[in-house]
Amino acid sequence: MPARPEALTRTLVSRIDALCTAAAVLGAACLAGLFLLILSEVLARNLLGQSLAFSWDFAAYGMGCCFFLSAANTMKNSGHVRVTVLFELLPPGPARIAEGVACVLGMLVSLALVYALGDMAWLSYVRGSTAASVVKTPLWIPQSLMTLGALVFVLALVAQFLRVLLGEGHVDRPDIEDAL
Amino acid sequence: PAFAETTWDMSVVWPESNFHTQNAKIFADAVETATDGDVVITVHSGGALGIKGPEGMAAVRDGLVPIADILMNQQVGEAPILGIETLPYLAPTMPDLALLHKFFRPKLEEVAASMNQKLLYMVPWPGQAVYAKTPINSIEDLSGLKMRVVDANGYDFFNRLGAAPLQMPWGEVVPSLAAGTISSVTTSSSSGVDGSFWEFMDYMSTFNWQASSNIVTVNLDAWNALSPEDQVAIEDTARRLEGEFWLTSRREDDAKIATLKSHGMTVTAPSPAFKAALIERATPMWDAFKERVPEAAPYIDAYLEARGN
Amino acid sequence: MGTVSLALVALLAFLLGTGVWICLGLLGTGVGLLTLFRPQMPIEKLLAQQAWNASTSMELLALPLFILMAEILFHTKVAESLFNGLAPWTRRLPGRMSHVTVLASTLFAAVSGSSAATTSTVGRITARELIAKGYDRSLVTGSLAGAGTLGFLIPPSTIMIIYGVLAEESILKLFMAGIVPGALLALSYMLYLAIRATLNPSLVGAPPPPSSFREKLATLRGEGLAPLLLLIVCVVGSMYGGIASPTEAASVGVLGSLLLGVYQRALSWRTLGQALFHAAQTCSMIGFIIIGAMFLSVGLGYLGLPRFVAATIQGLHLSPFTLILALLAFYVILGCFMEGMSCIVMTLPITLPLVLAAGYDKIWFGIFLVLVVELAQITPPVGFNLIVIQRLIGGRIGPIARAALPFFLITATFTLLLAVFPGIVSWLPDLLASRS
Ligand code: NA
Ligand code: NA
Repeated sequence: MPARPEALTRTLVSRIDALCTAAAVLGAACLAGLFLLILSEVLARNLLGQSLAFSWDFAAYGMGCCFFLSAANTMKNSGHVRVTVLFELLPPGPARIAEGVACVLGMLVSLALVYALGDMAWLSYVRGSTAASVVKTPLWIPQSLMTLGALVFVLALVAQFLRVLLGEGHVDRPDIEDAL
Repeated sequence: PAFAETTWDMSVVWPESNFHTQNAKIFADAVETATDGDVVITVHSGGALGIKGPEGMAAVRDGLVPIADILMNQQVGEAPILGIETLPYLAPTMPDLALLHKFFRPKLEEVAASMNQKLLYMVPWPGQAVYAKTPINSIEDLSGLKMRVVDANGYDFFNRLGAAPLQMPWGEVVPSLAAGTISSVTTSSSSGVDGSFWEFMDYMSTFNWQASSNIVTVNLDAWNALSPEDQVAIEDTARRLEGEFWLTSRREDDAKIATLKSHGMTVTAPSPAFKAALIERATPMWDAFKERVPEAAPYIDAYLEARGN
Repeated sequence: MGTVSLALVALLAFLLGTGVWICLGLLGTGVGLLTLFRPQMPIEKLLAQQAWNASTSMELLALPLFILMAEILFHTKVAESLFNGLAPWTRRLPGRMSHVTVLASTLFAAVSGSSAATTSTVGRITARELIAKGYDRSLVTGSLAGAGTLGFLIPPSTIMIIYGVLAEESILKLFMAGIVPGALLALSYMLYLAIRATLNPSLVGAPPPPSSFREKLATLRGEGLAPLLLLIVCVVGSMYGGIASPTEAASVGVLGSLLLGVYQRALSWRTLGQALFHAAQTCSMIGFIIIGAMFLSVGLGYLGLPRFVAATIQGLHLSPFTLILALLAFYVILGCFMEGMSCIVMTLPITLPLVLAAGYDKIWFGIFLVLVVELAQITPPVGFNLIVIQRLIGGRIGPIARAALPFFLITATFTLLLAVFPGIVSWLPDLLASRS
């Protein structure tokens, strides 16, 4: 790859990586939040004799948002599991092509996920759909956070694809799993 | 069924042996007969199609399934007015509920149509009882009681009565009852038997504080694709069976209460004075609901006037 | 149905074989199958609904909490003290500390309702430590995969609750019925470990130096086993003492591990942040796989595949034992492609009446189903325990699945044993019923 496009690609990858980290901060905050919510419910019931009407609902939304907002960072750190036999059996050149194909296929599937979640969040917003429980949470709020996470996840796959182009894919880092 | 013109997958979230599931199967068989095998409905019980309770109407609207059995009050996230019959003591008996439906049903059909579906029939659950480890004979007995409730009305009502209501997923209920984390549950006689509540609690009081109905709706695109003859046949079948299903619901309540008693549970009904006190705490919630959901007010008022209060 | 099955296997093999991430491979297979065979269906609506349901399901909430607890404990001295504390006690035991995984899983299964939570918690604390101490990698991963599944069999158990609701059977009796088989299965795993270690002593680490009884007693105090025992007492106590529901008890566990970390001065804001980040990543990885598996499972349900096969078995009119054998094979194959809970929900209306007609009772079939779901946890490609273990200690899925194979065979044999001796299941619930 010529020098200038390569430098641009590297910049793009590092920008996306920063975005992944930012989403992951939100995801980790969701995890901390769901812990605090459930713990508060235990404390409120046993110390104040009063249940918190929102604890379970919000904790469940927190979990969904945690899954999606952390997904990109997990991809960046090779945390999502895959079958790598093919890359190891093929010679380096074809292996790299195969890895690029896997990235593109993954991108297509995750784009479908973004579209599906975005459609759901948008319709929840337009229709004013809320939760059916004590707290009538507008569903578009957690749903759009999940869509955001899925969107960053697609970008993480783009970055992964670019890494393969730059020669930094799995094929060139066979020991990545042990580095976790 | 090889020559059926139309095959519908019907989503039901209740277990196979639940009477709503059995009703759905009776309905499916009757529809096949009435349409000369043109329309064949396969009932998928236990939520096997991945549709959860609060998603019933949305799933039919979006065409995920052409037909579904849906707990109406769980749809309040889509249309708040669908919570009308779960207001405490608004329609505590079956005749009351039938009267309420007389006024409310046209509105329900309108809401269903706005969500691209058509109401076929609706069947009530047995009333909501209170199960507890200790006898419940007065409002004082409810004080501080850690009681599992399932909806906003239950949470609000039992808070007003001085109990400590809480929501938790059904999966947590049985271990929590066994350990004493909660000491009371409000639910129907059917669910009391499903959960083998006699293993944890000795008392059941037939509060009947809340009514709730299941509705069976069909997606309008699927409906409009049928021949007019088949449509008439299905409508007739639904109308004919609905009355029978209401009787099944009443028999269900009697049978399940007998089962609870046979396992040693003490079943009582609130005394007239206790009941009056309960109703007194409930009526302000009707006004609060009318304020929050103004479109519900005319139906509630018309019903109350017809009932004579 | 033949075409559907072929397309399922081909699509899944293609996507997973070309190295597409497993969660996306499952989603892609589901989307592909529905596009092929149910083109008129609004697939994007189903996809969004299942992604939403799976990721915000309250039944799943204990999982992120236990993962967080394990991450925090990882930074404390608990793992170290667990091994130092247990070492003198296991000196004379054939297999030595390889039993720690099974024992810890059994103990933790009594706290957690799910296998993934059990596997990831125990694995995070014990697996790498054992490998570092010279224990055979394959033996460690295999026993972790196998014993981790006990999370479903030993109460509390999310699978038993779902089954109890669907089959209208007492959940309490199901819980009771799981205890004896759970303990026996744990013993079988330990027996296997002992035999392997006796046949080939190089599989286990070097023996610790001999110690006096006084020294052994000292392991129970202070820096030894005491903190971990205290933590377990807190979690179990809050659950059985009427303070917290099972999921809420998991949050007590997180709080306990935080306090322990502070007490041992092992936690800084930095390590706490690391624990949170790492836990969120693990949650996300498992969460995405659950989403993919749920979507594919529900998609297969819409295509009618599980019902079709179950109905085919129904049509064979088999004798009781051959029926159980056929159902075991059916669920094992289904469990390779589907998430365990979905297998049960979709097939129960057909299989339950069959099994009851063959003379088994609902409690027995509940335990049978829990065992087949456990088997599904350790069969590739959709095997949650295998995936959790890969995340924990790296390596490829293939070798991990091979390492789990002996434990798969032990569990499968044990399941058939229960068909021959149903009394193993009914003994404890019957005993308790006759007393009350
Ligand atoms: Na368990
Ligand atoms: Na599997």
